[in-house]
Amino acid sequence: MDESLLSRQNEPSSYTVMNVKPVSYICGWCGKENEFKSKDELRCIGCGYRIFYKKRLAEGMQYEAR
Amino acid sequence: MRKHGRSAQDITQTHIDSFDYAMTEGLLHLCERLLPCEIEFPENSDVGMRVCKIWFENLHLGRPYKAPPTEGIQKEPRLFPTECRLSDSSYAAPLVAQVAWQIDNLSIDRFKVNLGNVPVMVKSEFCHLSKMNQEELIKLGEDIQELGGYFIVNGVEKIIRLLIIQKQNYPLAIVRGAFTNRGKMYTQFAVVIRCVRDDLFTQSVTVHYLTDGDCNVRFILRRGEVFIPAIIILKCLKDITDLDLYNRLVRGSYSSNQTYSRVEVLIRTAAKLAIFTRESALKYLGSRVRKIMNPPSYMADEQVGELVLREHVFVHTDNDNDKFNLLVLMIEKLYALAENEISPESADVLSSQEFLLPGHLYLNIMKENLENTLESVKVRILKEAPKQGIKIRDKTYIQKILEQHANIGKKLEYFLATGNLISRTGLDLMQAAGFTIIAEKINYARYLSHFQSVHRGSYFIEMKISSVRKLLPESWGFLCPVHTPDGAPCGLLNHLSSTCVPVSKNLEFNKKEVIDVCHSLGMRLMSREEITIFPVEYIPVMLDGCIIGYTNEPEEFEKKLRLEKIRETIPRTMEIAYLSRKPLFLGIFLATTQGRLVRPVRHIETGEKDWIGPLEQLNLSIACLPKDRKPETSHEEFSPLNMLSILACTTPFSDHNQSPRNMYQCQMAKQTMGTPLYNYQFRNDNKLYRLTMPQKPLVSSKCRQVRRNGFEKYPSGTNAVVAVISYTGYDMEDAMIVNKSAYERGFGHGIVYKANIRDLNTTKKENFSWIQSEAAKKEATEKGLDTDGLPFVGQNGISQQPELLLFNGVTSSNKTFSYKDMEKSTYDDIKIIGTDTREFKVNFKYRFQRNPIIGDKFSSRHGQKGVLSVLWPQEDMPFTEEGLTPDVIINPHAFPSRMTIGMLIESMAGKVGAIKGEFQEAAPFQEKDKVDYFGKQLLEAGYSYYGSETMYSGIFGTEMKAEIFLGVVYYQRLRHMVADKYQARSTGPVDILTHQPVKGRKRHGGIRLGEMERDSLLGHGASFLLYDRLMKCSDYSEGYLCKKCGSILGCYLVKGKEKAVCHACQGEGVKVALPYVLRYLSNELAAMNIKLGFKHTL
Repeated sequence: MDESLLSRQNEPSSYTVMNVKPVSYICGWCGKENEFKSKDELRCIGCGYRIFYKKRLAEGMQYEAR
Repeated sequence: MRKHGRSAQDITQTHIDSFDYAMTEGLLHLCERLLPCEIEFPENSDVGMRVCKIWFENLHLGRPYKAPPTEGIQKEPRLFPTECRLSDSSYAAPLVAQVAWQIDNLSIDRFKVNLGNVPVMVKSEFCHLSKMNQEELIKLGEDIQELGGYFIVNGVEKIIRLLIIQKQNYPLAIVRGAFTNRGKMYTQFAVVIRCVRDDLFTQSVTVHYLTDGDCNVRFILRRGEVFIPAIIILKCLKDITDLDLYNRLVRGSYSSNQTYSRVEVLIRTAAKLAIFTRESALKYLGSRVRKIMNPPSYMADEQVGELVLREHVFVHTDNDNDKFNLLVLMIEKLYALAENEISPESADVLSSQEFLLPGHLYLNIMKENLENTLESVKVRILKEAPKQGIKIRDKTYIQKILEQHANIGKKLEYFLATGNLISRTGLDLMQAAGFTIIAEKINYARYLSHFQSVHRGSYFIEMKISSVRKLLPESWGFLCPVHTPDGAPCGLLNHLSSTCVPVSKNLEFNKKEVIDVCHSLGMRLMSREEITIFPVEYIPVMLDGCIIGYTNEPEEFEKKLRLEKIRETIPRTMEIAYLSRKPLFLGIFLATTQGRLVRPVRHIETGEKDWIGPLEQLNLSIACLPKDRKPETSHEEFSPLNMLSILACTTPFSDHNQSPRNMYQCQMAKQTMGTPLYNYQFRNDNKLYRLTMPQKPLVSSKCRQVRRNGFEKYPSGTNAVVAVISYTGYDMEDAMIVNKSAYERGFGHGIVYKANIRDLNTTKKENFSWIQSEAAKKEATEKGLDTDGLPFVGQNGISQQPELLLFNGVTSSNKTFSYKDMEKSTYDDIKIIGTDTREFKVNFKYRFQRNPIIGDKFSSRHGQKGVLSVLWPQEDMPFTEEGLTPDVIINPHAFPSRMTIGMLIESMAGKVGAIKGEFQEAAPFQEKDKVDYFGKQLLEAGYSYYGSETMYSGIFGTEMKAEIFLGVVYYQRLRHMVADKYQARSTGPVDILTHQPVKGRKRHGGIRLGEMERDSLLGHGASFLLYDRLMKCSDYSEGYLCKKCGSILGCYLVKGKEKAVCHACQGEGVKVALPYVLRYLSNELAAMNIKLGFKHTL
C-alpha cells in the first residue's frame, strides 16, 4: 500500500469507522447534499436529479511532495 | 443568407440548419411522399379482395424529456445535453406519428404512434439549448461557447460529416470505360443526372449512348438496374408524333453533325417494339418493371408505368412535360458528347459536386426506416391473418403492431453510433459506412475543424488512382488548398474555406416569379403544352433541372439576371452558371437547391456582395487582388484570405512558408494540448487535454476569420523566447533544449483527464449495492478507501490499488475493483449516477499530471516539430547582454531545407511585440514588407535589425563568435507524450500458443525485433546478441530430440525414468534447446501427416 496516500492510514488502530459521519454527495442539479443507504435509489431528495458528485474532504488531502 | 460576418456559431450552423429543415419541412414532405402501405385481404368471400391502406399523415419530432419517475419527485423534466454526456445516454426526443388507416376508400381512422426516441442535434430547434443565451448555457453546465451541430449518442458527441456528392438536378456528360460493361452495344458515353425531390429522396438517371446511335435510360429500382429505350420513356411522358420528336431533337441543324441520323435510329426503336402511343409505352414500361415493383394486383400495367415514372424517373419534378424536356436535353447533350462537340465533364471536379448535409442524410434514413416499418407491418398482418383471423379492422391491433415494428429511434442511434448505413436501397450513395465521426475535443481547433471537414466518401479511399485527390482550380475559394491531411486521406478529406457556406436552408422563393423575371429579361418561355422548337442558336435556361426557356442573347441575359439577383428580386444565393464556350454544353443553369456551395465575392459593377457557386465561378472572371483586374473582370475577391480555411488562416505569415509546412501546421494545430473547453467538471470525455498555463499568442492573425471564431478565447500554446543555435549537441535532429527554469515556471505544463465509467448492472451473478455493514466499512478503510467504498476525491490512483468496494447481493460478499492504469493519477472527480432501472454507475475521473518530460513533442506554428531532449539548467544557458536566457533552443539546421521563413518573421514580430507590449498582426498576404517593418522597430528598440544578438556561453562565460537569432515564438505542446508511448519489458505475458511475447503496449508486450533489425545485428556479427533476442528473450524451451528418428514430438521424459525415450521408435532422446514455436510448427505439420525430423551432431 502506498504510504503517501493519506495520513488517515497511519493513524493509530484505535481509529474506528464509527466516528466518521456518513459520506454525502452533492446533487449535480440543485447542489443539495444527499446521503444514500445501500438500497436507496439514486435520486436527489430535493429535485430528483440522478447525477451526484462525491464531496471533497474539508480537511484536505496530504500528498507525497514529489 | 446571413449578411453579417461569420462567427464560430456559423460554422456549425450548416449542420443545425440542415437538421432543422429536415425535421420540420422535410418531415412534412416526407409524409406527403411516403407511399401508403396497401394490404389486400379477403373478407366475406363474395365481396372479393378488400384493400386496407395505412399511411403516415403527420410526423412530429418533440424535444428530449426524461422519463417520469416511478416514485419521488422530478423538478426538471427536461433532458439536457450535459446530463446525457455525464450519464453516457443519448440526447433523443420522441418521434410521434399520426397514422391514418382506411379500408376500401371508406372513412379514414387516425391514431397516434410513438416511433421511438430519435437522437436530436444539439442546438437545433428540437434542442432545449437552441434559444438560450450564454448565461443560461453556463447554468446548465455547458461551455461558454456551445456550438451545437452534433448528436449525443451514449454520451459520445457524434457528427455526421459532410459528404461530397454529385451536383443535383444537373445533367453531367461522362465518359467512362466501365459503361461498356453494362450491356451489348453500350459505349463509354453517358449523361447522368442526380435528381432530388423536395423530400430529399434521391434517384439518379443515366442516359447511355449505344453504338448504333440509340439511347437507353438506366435507373435503379429496388437495388436492381432497369434499362429502357429512351424513346419509350419519351413516349410515356408525352403523346408526341415522331416528326415533332425528330424536330425537337434535331432543332434544324443538319450541317456538320449526324444527330439527325441518330434520332432516326432512336425513333425506329419504338417502331420495332410496335409502340406508337403513350398508353402502349406506359404498358410496356409497366410490364418491364412489374416484377421488381410488386404492385397490388388491381393495378394495371399502365398504372405501374405511371408509378415508376412518378417515383423513379426525374423525381425532382412532378410535371411530365418538364421530364420530357429534360430527357430531350439530356439526349441532345449525349449526342453532342458522342459527336465530340462537347468535352466530357468530370465527376471529381467541385463544379459538378455539392454536399450531402447531415440533416438530409438523416431524413433519408428516417424515410427508409418508415417505409420498412410499413412493409414489415404488412408482412406481419398477412402472416398472422390465417392464424388469428383478420383483425385488420381492430384499431388497437394495428396500433400495437406498428409500435412493435417502429423502432426508428434505435435505428438512428445505431447509425450515429457506428456510422454504418443499413439500407435496402443504398440511398443512391456510394458507401455504406463511415458517415459519422466523433467530435473530439482535443483542442478548439480540432473541434472546429470537424464541422468544416468534407469527405469525398470512403469509397474513394481504396481507389488506386489519385485523380480524385487532386487539388483542382475549380475548388478555389470553396475548399482550402492547405488544410488537408497528408497520407491516406490526403485530398479526400478537405476543409471548407473560411467564407464558403453550404446552402442549408430552403431559399424562400417562388419558382414562377423567377421564371417571370427571366421572361422579362428576354428569355423565350418554354410553352407548357405545345411543342416549341427553338433553333440551335438558342441556348436553354434551366432552373433546378427543368428547362424554363431558351434565349439567343445569353450574355445580355446573364448580366441582367445577375443584377436582379443582387437586387434580391430573385434569391441571393441562386447560382447563375452561364456556360458560354464551346467545349462546354451551352446553357444557363440556375440552381436554388440545398447542399450547394456558395461564397461571397464583390460584384464590381454594383460593389455589392454576390454569392457565387462553383459552376458559376468557372465562367466568371474574378480578380483576386485589385491589380489583377482585366477588362472582362466582373467580380473581385473580398480578401485573398478567403481561399483558406479558418485553421489555415491562423498560421502566422503562412505566405512566407513553403507550402507543405503550412499543411503540417494544420495537422499539428489539431494535435495540440490547449484549451478545448472551460466546463471540465461537466464533461466526461474518455480523454481530455488541458494546458495548465496557456497564453494568447503575441503574434497572431487578426483577420476576420480568426477573430470571429473565438480562437482568442481558447488558446493552445505558450510564447517562448527561442534562440536558434546549435548548443550542447542536445538540439540535433529536431530536438529542442528547454530551459529548466522555464519549465519550472510552467512552460508547457499540462493535464490529461481520463474518465472511467463502471456500469454496475444487475446480472445473474451480480447485484451491487453500497457497502453498509461496519465490517465492510472497516475493510474499505483498510484498503485506503472512504467508508462508502469509494476513494476520497483528490486521493491518488495507483496501479492495481483498490478503487471501489461494493456489496454483491447475490453472493453476499464484498467485491473490490481496482485501478487499472499503469500511470499514477489523482481522482479528480467521482460521480455516482442513478439509472432508470434502479441500477447505478460509478464514474471516476482521473487527472494525470503531464508536465513536459524528455521525449515530449513540441511544435511552433510552422510545421516545425521537435522533441524535448533535455531540460537544461538556466545558469548553463547562453545569455544575452541583457542577461536574458532563451526558454527554448532549436537547431539552425531546422531552417534551410524547410524554408519556414514565416517562423523567422514570427520570431522577429514576437520580439517586437514583447518589447512594445503589443500584439502583432500576422495575417498572410499583407501588403507591407514585414521584415523591414519589424526590423526597423527592432532597430528603434536598440536591437539589431534582424533580431540577432551577441550571446555569451552559459558554461564558459565567453562571448560567442556568431550573433544568435533570438526572438519570441508561440510554441504548441503536442499531445504525443512519452508517458503514453514508452514501452519496455524484460519478461512478461506470452502468447499461449507460441510462448512468444505478446504484442501491444497495453498488454505489457514486447517490442518486435524485426527483419531489418535482425539484418543489422547479423551484419555486425553480433550473433550471440541475436540468439539472446530471438531465443532467450522470446520462446526459449528445452525438450528432447530422438537420436534415431529426429522427432521432437514423440520424445519426452517419463516420470521415474532417467532417460527420455522416443515413443515412436524407442530411440534414445537427447536434450536440446529449441524455440517453442518450432515445436508448435512440428505439431501442426504432424497434423497434416508431415513429419519433421532433425539431424543432430551431439
